[in-house]
Amino acid sequence: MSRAGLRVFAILFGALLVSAACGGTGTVAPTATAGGGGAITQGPPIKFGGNVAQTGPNAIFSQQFTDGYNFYKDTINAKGGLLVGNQRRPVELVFYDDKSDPTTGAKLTEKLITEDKVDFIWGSNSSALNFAASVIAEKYQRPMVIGGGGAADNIYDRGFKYVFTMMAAAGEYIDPVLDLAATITPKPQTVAILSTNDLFPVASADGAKKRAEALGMKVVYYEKYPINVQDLTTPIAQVKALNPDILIVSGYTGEQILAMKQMKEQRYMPKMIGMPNGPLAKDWATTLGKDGDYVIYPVQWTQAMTWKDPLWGGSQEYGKQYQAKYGRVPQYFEVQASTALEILGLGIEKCSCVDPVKVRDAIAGLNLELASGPLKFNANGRNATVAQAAYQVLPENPLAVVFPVANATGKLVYPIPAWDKR
Amino acid sequence: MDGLLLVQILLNGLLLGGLYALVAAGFSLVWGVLNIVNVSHGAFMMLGGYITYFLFARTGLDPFLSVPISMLVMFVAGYLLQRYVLNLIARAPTFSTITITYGLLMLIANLALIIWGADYRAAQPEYSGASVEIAGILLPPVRIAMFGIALAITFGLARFMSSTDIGRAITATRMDLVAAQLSGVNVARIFAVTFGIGGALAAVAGSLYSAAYAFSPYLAYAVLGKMFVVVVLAGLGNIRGLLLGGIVLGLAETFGALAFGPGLQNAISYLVLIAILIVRPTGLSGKAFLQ
Repeated sequence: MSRAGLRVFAILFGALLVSAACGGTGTVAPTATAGGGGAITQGPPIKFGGNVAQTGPNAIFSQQFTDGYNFYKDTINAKGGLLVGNQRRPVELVFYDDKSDPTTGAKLTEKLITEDKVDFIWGSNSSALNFAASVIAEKYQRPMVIGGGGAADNIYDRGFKYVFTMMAAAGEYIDPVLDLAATITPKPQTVAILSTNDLFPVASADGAKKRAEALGMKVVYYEKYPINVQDLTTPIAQVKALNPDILIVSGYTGEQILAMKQMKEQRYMPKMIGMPNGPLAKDWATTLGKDGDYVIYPVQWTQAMTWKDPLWGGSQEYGKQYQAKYGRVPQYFEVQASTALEILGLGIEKCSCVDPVKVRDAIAGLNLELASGPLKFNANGRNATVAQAAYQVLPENPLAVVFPVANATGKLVYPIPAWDKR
Repeated sequence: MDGLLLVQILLNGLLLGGLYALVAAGFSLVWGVLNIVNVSHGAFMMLGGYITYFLFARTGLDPFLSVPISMLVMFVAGYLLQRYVLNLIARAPTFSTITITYGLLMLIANLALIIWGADYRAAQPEYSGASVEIAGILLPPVRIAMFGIALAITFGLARFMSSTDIGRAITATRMDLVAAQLSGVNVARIFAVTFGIGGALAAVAGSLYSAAYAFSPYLAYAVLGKMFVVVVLAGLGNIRGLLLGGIVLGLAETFGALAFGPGLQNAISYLVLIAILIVRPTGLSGKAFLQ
C-alpha cells in the first residue's frame, strides 16, 4: 500500500515538474539573427554581437533589451545599412544568453570574438555581467558599448580603453528627484535617506546625499537596512519624528513596497517621496494599488524628451516608431540598448572603416545628441553629459513626466496629500 | 527621545513578535515531535500565501476567510509529504532531514518561481494598511488580528496537545516512541498528522502575511533564520513559549534598530540566538533544547 502510494506520489510529482518546466520556459535565445533587407546593399554585412541574460535572476528586462537591439538593426538596415567607404553594409546581430552568469558571459564574449568573428560588442543586463565580459573586449581590443547594466563605477575604473556607456552612474540615479525638488518654491529644506545595504542602492543613496547637500538641503537621516528586511517600522517611526520634507528610499521593489505599506500603517507621508526602481515594476500597482500613488521615481529617459538623433530624428520619434513596431511605450532599457548599437554604427561611419581599433578612437571622440540624450565620453568611457528624468505615479497616469520641468507631461503633486485625504 | 515614539516602537515590536511566533509554530511542533528540522517550512508558508492571494484576486475572498481553506490544503500536502516521502527517512540522523528538507525548500521555491514568477503579490483588501489611533499611538488592525491569531494558536495548540486523544498520542510519541508504539499508537499516522498540522500552521502564517505584506517565492527563504531564533528562544517543542520567543525577537529587532540603526536588524536576531544558546540553552522558559 505504502509502496504503491509512494509510486503514485512520485509519478504525480514528476508530472508536475515536467509540466512546470515546459510551461514556464521563456523564449529560446536566437544564436544568430540573419541581417534584414539585403537587396539594397552593396557591401557584406557587419556583425554586432553580445549577450542578453535571457534566463536567471537578471532576465527581468531581457525582452526590452533584445527588442532594443533588433530595433536598431531593423532601422539602420531599412536605410540600406552603414555607409563604409562607398559601400552600404547591413548590420547583422549575434545574440547569446549568458544565463545571468558572469563566467558564462565572459566565455561567450570570447566565443563571439574568436569564433563568430564579431568585432563590435554590446553589454549584457547587469553590472556584474559587464564587469566580466568587458575584460574580454578589452583584451581583444574590440569596442564594447554598454546600454544594459552599466551603472557600476568599477567597470570603468580599470583604465580600459574599449568600454563605453551612455548610462548614468549609480551615484547619479537619484539626482533627478532632488533636482526637481530644487525647482519648487518654497524649496524643500530637509531630506531623509533610507537604503538597502547592497552595492547598487548604497552607491545611489551616497550620490543622493551628495546631491542634496550640493543643492543646499540638509540630510537629517541616513540609514541602511539589510537586504530582504521584514520590518521597517522603526526607521519609519524615526523619520516620521524628524519630519523631513523629502524621503528617499533607495533599494529594490520588495523593500520599497514594504516601506509604503508600513508608512501607511503609521500614517506617515512626507511632502515628497523618491524611490528609484520600485514604481517601474508592474508589482507596484498590483501590490499597492492607489497606495502607491504620488511616488516620484527617477529614470534615465522618457519619450517625452526632445533630444535630436541622427537615425530616428529624436527621442519622441524614437518612441513613436518603437511603439508602432512593438506595441508598447519604450523605457530607458530599450532606448539605451538601441543607442548602444547606434554608437558602434556612428563610430564605424565616422572612421569609414571596420577596423576595431580605429572605430574605438572614433567612438571616443563622439560629441552629439542621440535619442537617449546628449553624449560625450570622458576618459573612462562614461558619459560626461548625462541628462535624466523623473516620473510621478499620478492617479490618472502612472508615467507622468515631472522632470525635466520643460518636458513635463503631468502636473507635479507637491506636497503629497496625507493618507486620509485621498 | 520622544516617549510616544518609544511606545509606538514597543507596540511595533510586539506585533512583529506575533508574526514571528506564527511563522515558527508549525516548525517548532514538527521539530519537537518528529525530530525533523523542516527547513522547507517557509516554502509551505509561501504556498499558503499564494492560496490566499489567488482566492482574493480571483474571487475577492477576504484573506482572513481564506485561512481555513489554505490550512486544509496545506494540511493534506503536509500529511502526504510525510507519509510518502519523509517517512522513508524517519530514522535518519537529523542532518539527513535538514538536507532533504532543504532540497524540498529549493524545489518548491524554484517551481513557484517558474510558475508564478518573481513578481511581488499581496492580497490587498480595503482595510489593508489602515490603522486606528488611540492616544497618539497607531494600531493597525490587520497586524493586531495576526497577533491575536498567534496568541490563539499557541494556546489552542498547547491545549490540543494536552487534552485530545490525538494531541496526547503526539505528546506520547515525542516523549518515548517505543513506549507509544507498545501502547497501540500508530506512529506512522501520528507523524503524518503532526506534519500535516505543521503544514496547516505554516499556511495560516502565509495567508495572514499576504494580507499585511507583499511576498514573492523568496519568502520561503526569508523567514528561515527567524524561525530558528524563535524556536531556540522558546525551547524546542515548547508551544506556549513561542509567543514569548517571537516577542523577544520582535522587540530586540525594533529597539535594536532604534539603538544601533536598522542596518544591524538581522545581525541582532542572530546575536540573540547565539547569546541564548550560550547562556540559556534550554530556552527562555526552561525546557530542554534537544532531549
